[in-house]
Amino acid sequence: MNERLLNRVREKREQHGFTQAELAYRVGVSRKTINTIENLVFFPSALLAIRIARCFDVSVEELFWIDGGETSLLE
Amino acid sequence: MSTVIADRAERLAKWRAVIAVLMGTALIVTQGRRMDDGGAGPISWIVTGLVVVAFLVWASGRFRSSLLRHILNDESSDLNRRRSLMIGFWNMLATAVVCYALTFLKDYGPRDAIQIIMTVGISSALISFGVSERGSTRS
Repeated sequence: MNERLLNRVREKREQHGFTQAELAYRVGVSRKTINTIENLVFFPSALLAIRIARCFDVSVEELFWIDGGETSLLE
Repeated sequence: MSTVIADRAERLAKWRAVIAVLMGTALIVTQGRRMDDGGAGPISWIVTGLVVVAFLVWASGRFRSSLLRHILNDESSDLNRRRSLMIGFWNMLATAVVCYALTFLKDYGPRDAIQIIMTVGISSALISFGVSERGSTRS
């Protein structure tokens, strides 16, 4: 099992024309938290993931997905 | 949320990371020097302890607004803090094992051993926190 949580936060942020600081300001965290999420160093809590998704007006699944997670654990 | 507070939290987080690394390094250097003079005395340890506690209180943003404290101690900072505490803990254990092994080669007292273990544990936790916080800001 080699799963990774990927995201398109940077892509969505750039689409909306936000800087990292602006997005951080909107979701109530520091800029370095956004930076580490975009660089896949830090994986946000469900709460923060939902807040970021709401900020971009998309679903959480559109923003975050599991890479290599197509196989069920029971298989 | 005021952008002024966000900017202030950012600046404070940067300073916190720098000071943590400097304090950790200073602790190793000063305690290492004192080892040659027969180890640090109780007053030295009290002063060191007070400085570390004062730093931790300042770094946590305890006396600042709740909003600033919230940004300063957000999820990534919390993770870095937990990681550095874990690093400090494991380094303390490893140093204790080394100190135990050294007793077969060199004659030294428990006070020296405690000083070495405490210094390595606290310093490594402080340095690793500072380094990971600084690393988080880089793209």
